[in-house]
Amino acid sequence: MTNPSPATGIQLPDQPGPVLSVRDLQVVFDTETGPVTVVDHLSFDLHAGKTLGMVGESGSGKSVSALALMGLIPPPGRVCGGTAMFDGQDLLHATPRELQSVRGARIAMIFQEPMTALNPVFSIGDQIAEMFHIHQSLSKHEAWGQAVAAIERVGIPDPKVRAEAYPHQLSGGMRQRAMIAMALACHPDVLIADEATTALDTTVQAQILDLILDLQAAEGMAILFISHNLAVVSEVADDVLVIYAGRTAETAPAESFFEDPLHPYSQGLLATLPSADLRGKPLPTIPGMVPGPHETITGCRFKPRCTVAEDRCAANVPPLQSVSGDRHVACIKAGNRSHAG
Amino acid sequence: MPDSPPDIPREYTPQAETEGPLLRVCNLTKHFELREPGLFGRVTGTVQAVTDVSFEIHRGETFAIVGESGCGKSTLAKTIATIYPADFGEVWFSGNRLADISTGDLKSTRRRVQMIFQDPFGSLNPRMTAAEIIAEPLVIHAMGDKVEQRQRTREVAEAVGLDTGDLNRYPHQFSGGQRQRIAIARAIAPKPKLVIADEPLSALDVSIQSQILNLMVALQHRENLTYFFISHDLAAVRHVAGRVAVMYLGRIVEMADTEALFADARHPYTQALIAALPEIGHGKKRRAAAPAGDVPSPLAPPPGCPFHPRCPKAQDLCRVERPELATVKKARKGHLAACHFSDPEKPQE
Repeated sequence: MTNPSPATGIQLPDQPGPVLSVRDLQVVFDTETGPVTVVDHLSFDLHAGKTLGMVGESGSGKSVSALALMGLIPPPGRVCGGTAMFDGQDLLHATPRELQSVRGARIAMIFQEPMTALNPVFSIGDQIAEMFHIHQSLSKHEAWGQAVAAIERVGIPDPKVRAEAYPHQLSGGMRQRAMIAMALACHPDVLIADEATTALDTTVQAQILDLILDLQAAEGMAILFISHNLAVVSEVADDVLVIYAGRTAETAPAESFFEDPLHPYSQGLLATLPSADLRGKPLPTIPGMVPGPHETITGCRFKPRCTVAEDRCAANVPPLQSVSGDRHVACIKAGNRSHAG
Repeated sequence: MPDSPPDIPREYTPQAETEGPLLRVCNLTKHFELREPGLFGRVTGTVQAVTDVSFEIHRGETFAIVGESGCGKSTLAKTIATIYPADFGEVWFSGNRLADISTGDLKSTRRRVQMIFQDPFGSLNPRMTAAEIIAEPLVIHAMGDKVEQRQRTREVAEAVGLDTGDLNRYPHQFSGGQRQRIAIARAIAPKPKLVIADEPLSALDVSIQSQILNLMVALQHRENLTYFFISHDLAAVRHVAGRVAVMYLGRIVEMADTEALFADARHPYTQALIAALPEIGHGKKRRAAAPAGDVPSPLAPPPGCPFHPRCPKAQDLCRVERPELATVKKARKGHLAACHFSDPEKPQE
């Protein structure tokens, strides 16, 4: 994955740096009332064999950031700043042709609802074979053989027979496995999983999480695991990034994050989860709701819902600052707390 | 048809009708026939959505059904709410058998049983304002005059935390959480006894789920409600329910007090569900293998115990004989399980 790219002439170092490095990604949607920023200065790194869990609620910009990396932002939206370096190439400034060779083959994506991501009129074998046909120029026959192998790899029983099946003939869990088979067909360096287990049943979700972890251990790809479910993220992520209203609230190694979240929003999210200790008692809540993209909030965007906010929180956008080691938080109060403690 | 409720397999002390359970469901069965296309299409299969389900819901309690998609929990709810007619079995509401109630009186029973659905986008009429949506059941059931209806609408809107100034807006102008509040207000407006909540949290954001959960608990006290809570989310069920039944392939496989179920689950499926529940604090390490395979099709449930193809403890007996839902030995009162080996100390017979 550290191949020098002859096209750009940039020689990457041999030590394992990040596979994908996103800096100051900015996405705006042009609306009738003017441009609306939905992702604001988002930065993160993905490392081989590691999983970054991106946590946020609907409208936080987590899916839009993933689509931006793939060059798939739908029209009123556009990337208006930042870089996303992948193998010496800036994905945000790549031509459609350059993106096409990366997308699907080297950076693959799986979605929440496999039924809408899979083509209903082709068998899953055909759809997976197409990946090999397009990206590796295999013959139809070879591609089919590879597709059956890919289906077997994701634990679908009876792969030769199931390859002939159409998406509607498979259960939700099997469809999600088929989509993972397609995503991993060309051994990508990066897998983006956007709410990949959200639509699944609890026991099937556990199977799919196991499968993703097993495949990561075997293939060493970097994973961007996007989810609103903190409990699921805690079981797959090495690092966590909390995104709120388009901005990073906190980034931290997973272990220290779940032990001691620093941003009031992270603390609130963790506290609202029903747990055995809280049975029958009112749950702590985060008052209010996620601000709409049109709402202009000066300073910290979480201030209207924050229980520890002060007047000075409205003055400036709190910068994402380092508090200790590899922990960063965008809250002026959390920074103080950490220094005091 | 018998006139008294048939025996159902749980410890139950008969009481006067007005004091007995609010809802009794006895041997309820609902199957759907699949037909070939066309008017005289041949029956090609039967979806066994709900089979022989019996339970009671007591006044003021929260009774939950958990299960994965396709287990029949939503069909069960809709059959109880008389949206679907039952194929077999009986539903008794407040001491009256629904089958005995004349069409006219059924309407008043329907008033007393209200539903909240999963999708606050699909369950609200986009052409009606929030006020019209909340008032609709009052109009349908002719409860009070216009002034009283308007008063009750405002009252429940406030109770669910809606801004009464927003009531003339349309559903699309509200967020998902606000829409679910409108759906809840509509459900409680006609003063129901039983509220059936079918996955009321699934479509909502995390920070909103806890708000709605708290709201439902507060309303239960305020409006004296009994909840029938249907969910796949075990964490939410553990939080609100007093008793829980676990459904698998159309049948109840375990039923117990919530604490007993989580501390001492006896059915391997319940154990698997609890083990599969993602929980914070374990780190990036799966702790137990999830049960292999998918839920089998309700078109052709396996013979014997429906869980045996996925069960790690399955024996020959399980493949041929379906275990009845029966009282579990050495467990808390009212703990039922449908497993040949629910008593861990009992060796194989």
